Amino acid sequence: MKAKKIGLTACIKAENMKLKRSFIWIAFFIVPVIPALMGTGNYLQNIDVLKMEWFSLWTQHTLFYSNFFYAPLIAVYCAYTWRVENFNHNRNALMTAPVPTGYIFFAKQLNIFWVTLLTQIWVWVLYVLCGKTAGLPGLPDSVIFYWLIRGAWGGMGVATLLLLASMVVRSFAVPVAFGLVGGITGLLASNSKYGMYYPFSLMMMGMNSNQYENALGGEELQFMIFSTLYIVLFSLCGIRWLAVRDVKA
Amino acid sequence: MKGFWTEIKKIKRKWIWGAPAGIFLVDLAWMCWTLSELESGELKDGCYRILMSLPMINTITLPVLAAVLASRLCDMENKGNTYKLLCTLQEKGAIFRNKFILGGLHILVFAFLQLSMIVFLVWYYRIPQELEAEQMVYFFLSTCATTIVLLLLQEVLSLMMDNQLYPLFIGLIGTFVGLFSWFFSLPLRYLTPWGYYCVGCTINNIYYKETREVVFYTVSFSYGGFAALLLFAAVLYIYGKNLFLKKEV
Repeated sequence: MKAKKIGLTACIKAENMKLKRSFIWIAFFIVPVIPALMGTGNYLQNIDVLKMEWFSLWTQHTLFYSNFFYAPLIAVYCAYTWRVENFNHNRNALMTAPVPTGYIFFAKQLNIFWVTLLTQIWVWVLYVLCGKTAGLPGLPDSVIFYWLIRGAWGGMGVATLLLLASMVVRSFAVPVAFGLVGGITGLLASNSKYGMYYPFSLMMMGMNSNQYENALGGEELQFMIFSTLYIVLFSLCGIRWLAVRDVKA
Repeated sequence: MKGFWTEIKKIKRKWIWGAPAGIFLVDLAWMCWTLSELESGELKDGCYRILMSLPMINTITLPVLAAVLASRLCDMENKGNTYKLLCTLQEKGAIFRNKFILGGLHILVFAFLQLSMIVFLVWYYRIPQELEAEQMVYFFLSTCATTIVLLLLQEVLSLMMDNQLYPLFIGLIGTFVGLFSWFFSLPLRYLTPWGYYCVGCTINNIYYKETREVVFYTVSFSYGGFAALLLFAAVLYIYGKNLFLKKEV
């Protein structure tokens, strides 16, 4: 009897179920709180120099978050997504299911994408709450929300790369270290002329990390092209690897 | 000794050294970037600049490195579900001790590499300031002692928790706490092990707004602080080992 093929939607639903009551939500809630507190503290301490209210607060919030914690946080999500498959021979079950390998990878990738997007929204909520607590008037400019979403798109390339790394390395710890190293090298690259070509810098540049004015200027299109290119490239590598390599569960 | 060699055999082809090597390369890139941005006049106190920058970089990278090392050394037993077998073949306490020694050796090699990096940077950038052996020893001691204590803490967490997300998450939080400690008032820095990169830093600076000049100076090494840290490590070792001995496998 021919097995019935499972569609992409069913795969996405299955991946979503794996996240239910998972440990990543603890990281999701707590990790962004700390740079928010640090950034606000730093802002209040240097309020004499930082005169641009919401924009100044933004520079302080992103100073620590985007450089050192955004990429490792995405890495935690990716590593967790693959970790559940590395136990109890789950990879065998996964790879023998009547599902195209592309669907398996896409389902995991889409899962990471929406969690990353939610993280960015949570960062924005924290930013507004901290701003109000610090006594800033009104609400932040809508452009900051746009920067966050743009940063999320830049982060998708990194998420796909880290998902690929988590799939290949089969260790929970290594992708997290890779994320941290990527974040630091991204900081170095974004301060050079090569920032646009490095996925970890795209993430920071998209978020307008530690900047008052739009860091991308007239290079928005270039940013979108490179971010999309990395997503496609790493996805293709991931699907190919999954299709060709032995399971070794 | 036999148990220790067994641990070494277990990490064969596991690329455990990949994380320290990667972080070392990032440190080198970061320091090269920092020094190449300086004007020739600013290099006159280059040694002090390096010896102050590296503990800050270590605050960001080494808590995660300790978490990754401990997790990789301990998680292989979770993955292979080998505790039942191991604990019938060798003394349970020896497993704890050997993993700690092996991780500690990696840290020691890393700290030596950092020392050689300082010598290389001084030579490569032709820094005119004399590299003081005393300051190098303090830097080495504080890096080694703090990271090994963090490794011990992470090992206890990794052995006690099947889900490696928690230990890594604590490592990430530790990085935040460490970064925070550079802004803490003096007594507060001594309260968490992550703050000891800052406690052990024997170089400080003053910024003169009027002349826009930074003046570096040395401060005495906190022997008392490090004695307290080592006492904490001894208590943690005994407590952690007992916890592991009582853990049902």
